[in-house]
Amino acid sequence: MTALWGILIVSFFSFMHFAVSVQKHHRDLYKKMAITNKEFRVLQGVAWVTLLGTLIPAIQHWGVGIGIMTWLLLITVSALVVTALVNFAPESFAKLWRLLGVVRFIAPPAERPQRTK
Amino acid sequence: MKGPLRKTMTWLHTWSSILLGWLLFAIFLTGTLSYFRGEISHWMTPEQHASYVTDDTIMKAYERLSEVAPDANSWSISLPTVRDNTVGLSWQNEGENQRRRGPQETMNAATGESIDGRETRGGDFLYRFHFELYGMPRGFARTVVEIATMAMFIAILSGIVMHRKIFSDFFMMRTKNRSLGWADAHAVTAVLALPFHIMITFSGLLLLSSSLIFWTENTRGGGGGGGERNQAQNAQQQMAENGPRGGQGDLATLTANRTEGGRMTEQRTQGMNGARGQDGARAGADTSEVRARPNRDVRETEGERLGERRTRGEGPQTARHQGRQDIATPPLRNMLTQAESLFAGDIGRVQIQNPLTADATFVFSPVNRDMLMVERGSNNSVTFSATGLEIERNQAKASENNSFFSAAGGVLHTLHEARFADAITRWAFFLAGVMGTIMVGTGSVLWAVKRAKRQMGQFGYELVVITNIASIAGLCGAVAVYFWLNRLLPATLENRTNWEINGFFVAWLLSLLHAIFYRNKGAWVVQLGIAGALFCLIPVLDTLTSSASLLHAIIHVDVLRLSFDVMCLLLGGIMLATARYLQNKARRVISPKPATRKPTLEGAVK
Repeated sequence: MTALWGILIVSFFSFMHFAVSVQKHHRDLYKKMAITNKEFRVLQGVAWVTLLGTLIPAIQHWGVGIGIMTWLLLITVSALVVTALVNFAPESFAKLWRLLGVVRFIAPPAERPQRTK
Repeated sequence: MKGPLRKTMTWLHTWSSILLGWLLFAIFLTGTLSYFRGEISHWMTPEQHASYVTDDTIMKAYERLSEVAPDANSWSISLPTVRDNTVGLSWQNEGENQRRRGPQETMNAATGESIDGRETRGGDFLYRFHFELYGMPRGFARTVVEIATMAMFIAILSGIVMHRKIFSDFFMMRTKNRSLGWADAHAVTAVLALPFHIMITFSGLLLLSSSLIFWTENTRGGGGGGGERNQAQNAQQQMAENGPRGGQGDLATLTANRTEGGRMTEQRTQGMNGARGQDGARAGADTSEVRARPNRDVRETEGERLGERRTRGEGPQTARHQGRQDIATPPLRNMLTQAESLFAGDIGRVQIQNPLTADATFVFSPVNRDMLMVERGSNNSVTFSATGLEIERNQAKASENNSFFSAAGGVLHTLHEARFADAITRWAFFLAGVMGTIMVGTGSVLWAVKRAKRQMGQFGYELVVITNIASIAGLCGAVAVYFWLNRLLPATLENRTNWEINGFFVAWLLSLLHAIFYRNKGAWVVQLGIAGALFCLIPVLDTLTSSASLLHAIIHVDVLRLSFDVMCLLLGGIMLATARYLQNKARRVISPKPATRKPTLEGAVK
């Protein structure tokens, strides 16, 4: 059970990074800022590493055969959730991104205009 | 090169899928529902809902069998598992054909009473429809389904090639736009669940591959590979028709009976004769009259006699019993605990040979769902004697003489049907199946939407629109009607099964008629709305018309029933949401308002 929720949550995290690494969604999030090369690489790196990381507990828990298939299905579910959030609840996605998107600290977009309140 | 290739692929994608898209939608929808085949069958026999497992279940089953079948040669008990909450009892009387299933009954696991379920095809109807459709010669229907699967496979491959920006459109849904909304829904459901689509289509293609071979007689009807496979499949088909109870268990029984049959029968006959001899003078008088008749008649007469005695209130004292008065009740609960710890899992089936005698044996076999490779005929089991001593242990490994191809076929089969799946994996399969269904449906709709401006009014176009409505919204409604009829038709109606199935097709036909006349006047919204409402109201119907309320199901964690209700709510929700989306869109087309500013994320992150 823990393996399952772990996979769901971590793969959700990695799909968030995939989504932000897409130019269009990045623009939505960062006030029309184009994505820098460095940022793209870091986002993609974090996303791939965490996503493939979730394959390990899946294989440990279910064995190679079932593990891979279950893993594919589970990450499909998280990808679906990310898609739904990005498109239908962009505000909540932005909030989640502010909470979870560690990449902001590793590769902050260079000259992001500060928003004045 | 790239342009022409992409263009060719687009052409191939469009035309390979639109021709069979409607059939594929039906295959996908019924197949997706078939992941919950057990749940559906369980829900559709509400008489079983009062049953739940207790520690005493196995003893209750034993008592029940000694009451109804004291004279049988062997008993078989299917214990409640995750996929089934009742107890299945069956027994074989002496001299009966070993290959045919003997008398059987379903028992309430909590009270030990027999359950007389209503007559229904349950989830098996949808399951059979998934690959054999209905009312067609089996071989022909399978060939049609196989061709549709092939078209699906072609569509998937060409779809991957023609999709220009897989990565950048990965998360994109532009619902506000007229045709982009459909295109995005199509692409997102296709791309996100792509591994599932490829797996399910490819394995489906292989499972039915023999239906394309016309030149041999014996592969015509079957879907499997060689002859051995066919036999196994036929047994499974028989199972499917007889009821949802554990397919593999029965296969194992079949093989066991075949191999041990000779030896066992001999022993048993001797045992029985001995016992009957000791029955003594009292029975002698009755039997002497009929001794001249064939054996079968003797048994029948004896049966009647026993029945009479039982009704006179003398209890289950039988010929055999009287000979061995002091047979102690075997320590079944201890055996069960031992067997469960041995196999580290649930025990699915208990076979009892020579019951109610001193040399009775008890064979416990586990439910083996956890393996991707389910070897046919291999049966893990542990055997106990009547006093509870372990006699024999069978922990079969994967058989080594499996060829590579049959092994691969086994894996694909298991994957396709998600036999290994626990509750959560099953839900994941189901969700992926729903995405596949949405993908096929939106694909068909997209064809019409793209051509709406140019071809409105042309025969071909209108035909596609009508068929779209009837095959997508109509089928959803028909499935809902099938479920509703199951609960609304009186339980004792004659030909009940046929009424349910006919109701399904009548509903589908009505939706076709409705689509013909109202295709441009909101037939989509009306039909999807009705189907969605019917699905969403199913939990209400359930609690009102079942033998036990939903509260009972929640208290006793009746996962099967609750899963079904949740599944219906989910499907109904999707249908209602789609209907609402279509309604809003139609309103926008009729009276275009100034576009309201879409909330953006601008500055959401500082």
